[in-house]
Amino acid sequence: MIPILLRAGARYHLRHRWQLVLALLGVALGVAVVVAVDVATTSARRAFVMSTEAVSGRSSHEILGGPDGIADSVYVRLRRTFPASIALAPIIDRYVSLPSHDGRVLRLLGVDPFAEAPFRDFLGTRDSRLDVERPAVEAPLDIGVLITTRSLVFARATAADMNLSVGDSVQVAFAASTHIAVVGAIFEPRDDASRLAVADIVFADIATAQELTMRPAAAGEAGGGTIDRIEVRALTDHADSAIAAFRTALPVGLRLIESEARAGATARLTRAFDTNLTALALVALVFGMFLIYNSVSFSVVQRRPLFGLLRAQGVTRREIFAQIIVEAGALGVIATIIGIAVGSALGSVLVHLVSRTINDLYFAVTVGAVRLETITFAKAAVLGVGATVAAAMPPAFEALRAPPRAALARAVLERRTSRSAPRLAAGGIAAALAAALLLSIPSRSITLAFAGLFVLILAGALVTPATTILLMRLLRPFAARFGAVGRMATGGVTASLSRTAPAIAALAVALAVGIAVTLMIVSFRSGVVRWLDQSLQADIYVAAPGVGADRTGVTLDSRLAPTLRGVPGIAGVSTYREVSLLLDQADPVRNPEPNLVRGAQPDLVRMLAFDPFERHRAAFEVLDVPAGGAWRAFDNGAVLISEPLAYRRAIGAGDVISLPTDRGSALFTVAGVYRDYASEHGVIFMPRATYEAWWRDRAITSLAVFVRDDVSTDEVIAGIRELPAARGVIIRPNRGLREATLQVFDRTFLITGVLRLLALIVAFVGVTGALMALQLERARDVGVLRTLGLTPLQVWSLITSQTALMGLSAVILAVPLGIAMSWAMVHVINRRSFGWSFDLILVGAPFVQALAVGIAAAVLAGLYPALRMARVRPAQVMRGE
Amino acid sequence: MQNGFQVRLRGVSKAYDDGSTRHDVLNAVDLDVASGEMVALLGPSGSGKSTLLNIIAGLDAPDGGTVEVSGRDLAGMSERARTLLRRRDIGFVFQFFNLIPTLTVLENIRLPLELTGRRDPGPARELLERVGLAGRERAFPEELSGGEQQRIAIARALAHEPRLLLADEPTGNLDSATGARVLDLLTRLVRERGAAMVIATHSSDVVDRADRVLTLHDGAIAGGT
Repeated sequence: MIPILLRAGARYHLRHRWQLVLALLGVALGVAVVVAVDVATTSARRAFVMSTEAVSGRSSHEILGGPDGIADSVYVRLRRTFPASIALAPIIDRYVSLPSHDGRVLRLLGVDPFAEAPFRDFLGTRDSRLDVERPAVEAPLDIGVLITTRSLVFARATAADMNLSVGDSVQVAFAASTHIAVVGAIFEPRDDASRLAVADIVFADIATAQELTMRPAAAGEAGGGTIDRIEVRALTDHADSAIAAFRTALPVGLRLIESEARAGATARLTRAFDTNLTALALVALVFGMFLIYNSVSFSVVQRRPLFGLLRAQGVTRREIFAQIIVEAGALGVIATIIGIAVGSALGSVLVHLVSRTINDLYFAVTVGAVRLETITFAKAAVLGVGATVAAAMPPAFEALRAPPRAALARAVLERRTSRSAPRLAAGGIAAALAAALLLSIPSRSITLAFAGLFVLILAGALVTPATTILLMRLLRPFAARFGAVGRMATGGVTASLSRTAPAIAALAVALAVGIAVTLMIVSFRSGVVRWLDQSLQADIYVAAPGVGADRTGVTLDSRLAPTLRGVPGIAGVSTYREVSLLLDQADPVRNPEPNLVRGAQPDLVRMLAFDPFERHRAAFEVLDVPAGGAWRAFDNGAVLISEPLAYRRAIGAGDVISLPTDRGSALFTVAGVYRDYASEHGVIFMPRATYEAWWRDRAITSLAVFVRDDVSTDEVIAGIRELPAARGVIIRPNRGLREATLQVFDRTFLITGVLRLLALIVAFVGVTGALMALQLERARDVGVLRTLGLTPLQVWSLITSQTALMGLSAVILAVPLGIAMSWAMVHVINRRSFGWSFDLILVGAPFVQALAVGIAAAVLAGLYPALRMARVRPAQVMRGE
Repeated sequence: MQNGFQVRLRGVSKAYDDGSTRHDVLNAVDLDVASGEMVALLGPSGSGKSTLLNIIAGLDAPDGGTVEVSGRDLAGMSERARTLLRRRDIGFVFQFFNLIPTLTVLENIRLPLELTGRRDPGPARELLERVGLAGRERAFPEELSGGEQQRIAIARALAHEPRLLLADEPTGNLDSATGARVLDLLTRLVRERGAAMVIATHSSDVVDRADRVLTLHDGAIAGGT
């Protein structure tokens, strides 16, 4: 590298500050969006994983029971059977809310202090990782405090946040019940990692936790309560064989799973959601690349004579290439630093949107801290600097081709671009075909689908020059009506194709993404509305209050359903029992080791034991119906599975699936596949009778109530509220549930809307930069025109009509591209990400919006140069050149 | 001072094709320039003077004939080798000065020195003094008059002590008094260094100072003195 050339390059950029600022802004915003999404998704995931790790401790395996948990007595029996080689610890792990403290959601971890030592160091043992202290006693936490009735232990940060001191009372709500508990102790985690891990966990003795979460004795077990799981750790040197022996001795209905498997299955729930967000963020970065390409290529074009001069002085091609790349790299570094700073700030805003969606749709999570991971830095650096350098490559190669002469007519470059337009268009068509091929490959890979989408975007960009030339030719007769200025406006767009085409392409892609995302959301929403109309057949829905998407642990009073059936005015009641099942990903149809779930890719699915009121059956749109009808099969014990589950596991009506029951693994026939947008991970509807035959659990999670036609729904609701068994439950009329569902839908897509807006801002900045560069570059032409007698107003209208024409070209390109992208999003990306299908609906609004945004963006972008050029004194420009 | 350096052109021809018409710019040109010799090229606009200079510098390739600089055939050299030849042995002065706008006056003169790995600013400062612009080191080209810019361009062209100086109408953009002063400076410095010089010009002042004057007409050397 030649330092003096670098200095010259740096000064060039400092002299063109506006251009530099726009370039930096474009890349910085692109990086910022990627960082923000990464910060938001990883913070949420990290919060979940850390609290899970804190909870799991050093256990290698876990024992899971049925939906009603594991009876205390089973735990005691197991403990007696394996006293020496296997350590066991009972756990209750539930989310509770604290109505006395703004309904704050905490993870309640019920533990047995006497069984804890091999698993976790939190609670008062000598080699404690976390120093436990009480204001009154400076000693480690006394186990006695923990086992005191309804005593809770908080981490100091959590307690401080909620203004809690030892001895304070808190209300703890779970399902429909609320209890009063006492802050028994507050402890200080030793390091930041532990502090973060336990930020939203509250500890209690297992008995307290059972009481707070209303854990009754398991069916068929006398006395005692139930626990959620038992943690397992082999204490011998031969852990594998000890665990294997332990597994064979497990009673039927209990499953031994690797600890990582359950946490992994939960964390994986958001994978498709995260991937989609990341892809949107990458779109913003692609616009940033367009921008840097524009900016670098402009700086190269502007310096062509200079490079020619340097070549005449003996500077080699390689040295010029290196200079351009080093300059771009420096721009990339600065932009990346800005992008990381902006992205972190943006991420802390986005994290609330992301965690709310995760809570709505997947699992309960509270993000205590937003922290930048090293990997985020690395990603930002690679993307920011890499994208900038990659975008600088074409102009750098272009500069290499510059002959070593002081002046090369700009016209030569433009002629070359015009000549290459058909070749680029051919490349674009080839790219479109490649995209079609990629999207139609019968695969389930989301990455492949996004690759297809990005190739489609590339195709749009490649056909831009040819389309622009064609369009300007078509528009010329019309523009000619406005005289010389009109003719010059159309001519100007094609005369500077090397500058106008990338700007048009960037704007077109931004608009196309806007059209595609809007069409996808509109189509999806309309699918959801149609689905809600069909599936919400009941008049009233009754459920115990759950925390976020976690409803499996909350149950209704068992007397409620029979009571309701006897209420006058109620035509019928359907009952649901919702449970989570962990299915081994490997082979649900023929699972060789049904009572062992390994760490690799298990799936959490929802299963509903369903006892439908006759009218309720119409609520299901059965897509895959077996001979004889789905409901006949259902009545004979077969299960209905949702479309996403059927898609992901490639199973259909008549197939057999294996499910872990309380009586061991059992096979169930699939009665049919029904349309469902409630869960992307799959739902199984099982006849209540079948459920009761295979599981001990008799609980009910929610009810659907059908009101007689001659009775007012409001009156029935009022009647239900009076029932003692309905105290504390949520009662919602049909419309209320429908609205709540659509609210969740809209909240889910709020973040998509924010990202789309950010992408558009990046594109707008890019286009503004490109257009400004283009127009200011033409200062001399404008000077000549002014000398020839063009008025400032004519100059202004010439420039704004040129940019408006560019905006129009972008819109015209964006329409087919947007439709193609929306098709890919609806039929490929959504299908593969979430497994559901819906029809693409073409509505006019996104197109009108694109037209308005496209032309407004282009005109606004041209405004400043137009004003500046109109004001300029011709002699000054000519001399300056 | 610098012996054995020679430029030798034999049968050099060059034509440009604009797609419809072919324009012969140079037609079987023979030319020899020896060390320390100053050759003036006269001819109307479009007679091929600039093309001839570009071909001698290896910036442009002839369609026919051979160009030897210091005994080496340019056609047989790689692009990189030609670039390094220019870097080491050739200085260029242009009609429009072509200083690098983002470098200061001193940095412009230092550029060819840095390209040949010489970081010492001493020779550049000395040259700046020789061209009468001491004290303007930190000025940027745009702050100088045309005459001053051309003096800097001359200093830049000579900074790395080239064995051949090519000047393309160096006074063409200056008023006659300034032009005369610049020409004085150019010839004095080139002669002091014993370099060969080919200067394309319209100026009679140049003709008076040149060792040999050649006239290009319709791409061929029509006459010489």
